Amino acid sequence: MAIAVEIVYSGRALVLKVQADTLETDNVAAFRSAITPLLDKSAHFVIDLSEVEFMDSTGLGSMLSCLRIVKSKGGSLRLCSLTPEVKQLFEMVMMDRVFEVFDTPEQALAK
Amino acid sequence: MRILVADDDELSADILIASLRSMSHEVVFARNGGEAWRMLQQEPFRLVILDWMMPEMDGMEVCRNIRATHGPSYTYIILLTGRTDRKDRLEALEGGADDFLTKPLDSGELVARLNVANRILESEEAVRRTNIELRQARQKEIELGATIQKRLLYSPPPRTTNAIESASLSIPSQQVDGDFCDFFAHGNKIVDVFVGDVMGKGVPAAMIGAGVKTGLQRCMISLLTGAGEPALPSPERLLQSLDELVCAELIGLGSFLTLCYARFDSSDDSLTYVNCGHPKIVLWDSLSGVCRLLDTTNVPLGFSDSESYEQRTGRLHAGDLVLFYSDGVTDLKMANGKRLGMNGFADWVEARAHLPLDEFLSEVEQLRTSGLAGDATGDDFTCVAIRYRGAEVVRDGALNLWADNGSLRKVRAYVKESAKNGGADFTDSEINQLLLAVQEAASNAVRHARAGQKGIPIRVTAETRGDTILVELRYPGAPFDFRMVPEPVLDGTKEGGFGISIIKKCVDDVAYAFQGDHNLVTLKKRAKGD
Repeated sequence: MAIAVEIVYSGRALVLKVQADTLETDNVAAFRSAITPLLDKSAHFVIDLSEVEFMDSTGLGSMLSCLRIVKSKGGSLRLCSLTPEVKQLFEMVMMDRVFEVFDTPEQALAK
Repeated sequence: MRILVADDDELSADILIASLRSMSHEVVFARNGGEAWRMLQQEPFRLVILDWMMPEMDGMEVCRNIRATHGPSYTYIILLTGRTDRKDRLEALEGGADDFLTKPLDSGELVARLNVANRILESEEAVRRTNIELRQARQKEIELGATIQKRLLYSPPPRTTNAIESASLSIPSQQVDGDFCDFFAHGNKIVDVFVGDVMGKGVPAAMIGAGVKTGLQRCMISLLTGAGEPALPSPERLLQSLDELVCAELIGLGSFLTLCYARFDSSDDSLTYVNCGHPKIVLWDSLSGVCRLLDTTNVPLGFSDSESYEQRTGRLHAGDLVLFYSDGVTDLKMANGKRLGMNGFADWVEARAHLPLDEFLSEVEQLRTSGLAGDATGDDFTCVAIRYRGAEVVRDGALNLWADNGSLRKVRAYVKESAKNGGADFTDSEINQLLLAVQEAASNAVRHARAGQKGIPIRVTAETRGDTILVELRYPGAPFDFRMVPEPVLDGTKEGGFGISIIKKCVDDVAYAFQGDHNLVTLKKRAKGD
């Protein structure tokens, strides 16, 4: 099952929107192959997760993997527009301390 | 005609060339045999006149060289010689010469010899053209046969049924053969699969295959619409009817075919089949992870006109893999030089049956490549793979399914539905926690229960008692009590290891047991309404 990751804004940072309602065991490989080439296009990223209504630990793992890749190049990665379900997961495993999380893409870009 | 003349004697060459030109031939001249051979390698000549005795390379040697190379058309060779004795002439004929001209040249003889050459070359050209036309016609027939096979003999699986998932691989040995495969879907619960293999190859086999396949469709329609039999005909009834329709014809044509007809019924998880001489069905049981061969029930169609068809029925589980294949598969040679055979194939399947069907079939294709070991064409090779999905609905209070890519969503949907309608007052946040725990437990099962495998049969039950829901996951495989897994690192330096921690945080109680040969994970969550 293919997953699209769309560049919705391109400026000093790229805003990437994940076009999938879940990010989980079943589609995480597709997500990784969709997003990895995009991580070469800039140093700074905002990932918009507004479409993602369900994320499991492997989905979370793929987010951490993106963060590691971006940071290793001296860049930054912020997340925005988390649905309540995904926000709950991030708080549960304290990933809200590892990632910078914003309510909207504008807020993520403004800072 | 364009003629190559090779002669080291300029005077006699001049006379010959002048005579040929006076007869309107185009002449190319070589001073010796070596020069003539070099010219011949650059462009072909239909007619060559060679002096026998020449320096560098004599006429006989050029003659032998021409015969040793096979050009697109025939080269007619006339040897020019003063020799007249029988032994020399025999030697020249054996060396590949077609005719002789005696020195000194007689113009009447030259005309006569050239006429002979012309007649032979013309008839050779006619044969060559006919051969090309025949080859083209044969190629066209093969392509037509391949199209018949692709369009008429191999039907795509139905989209209206969820009971099975199917994929097939068919590699004909001569680009076309009589292997065929089709499906009948009866509503969304029952689907019939049948595969056949007609004796022989080529367009005749493909036409018989198409005829039998159509015959089977006719039988189905006539039994479904017949006055006395409004119900779905059983496989054995259908085969009996097909036998009545085609058996006499097959015997008359001196042909026969093997046929396997199988019905997958997800309303009672049954497989009913009739197998007329086709290689035995391989059935991989998803619960035990073991392959079985299902017995053949009848002789091939066209063997006997008094055959009585007999069907067998067995039980299916979600995730079972059922394989239909031709003897091209079992005839493959293994690394040890032995034939793969049906048992060998079943053993080979056992280690790979958990794979998604497209991956499984590409492994089968690799098996074929290594099993042919240099034999470029091999036998007809067909493999139809069916993954039994079952009804994927809650039955007897449980959801039984084959958990592979895409199916964990179904587990979550079932648990969500149960939590919402069970009577306990769960908040959205509590339901989300429950779903996270179920997801992690189920994907753990897929990953660890059978190491390295990509699918596993899971039975899920969800039951509400008062304000508490109990979700139970039951699956086969190695015992794995994930409660013993250490706590994960939460500082972002590790990408994995969160699953177990998520389960513990999301539900009130996690229990694990290994019962019989099954893992049993129970998740308990109470509605607190906070």
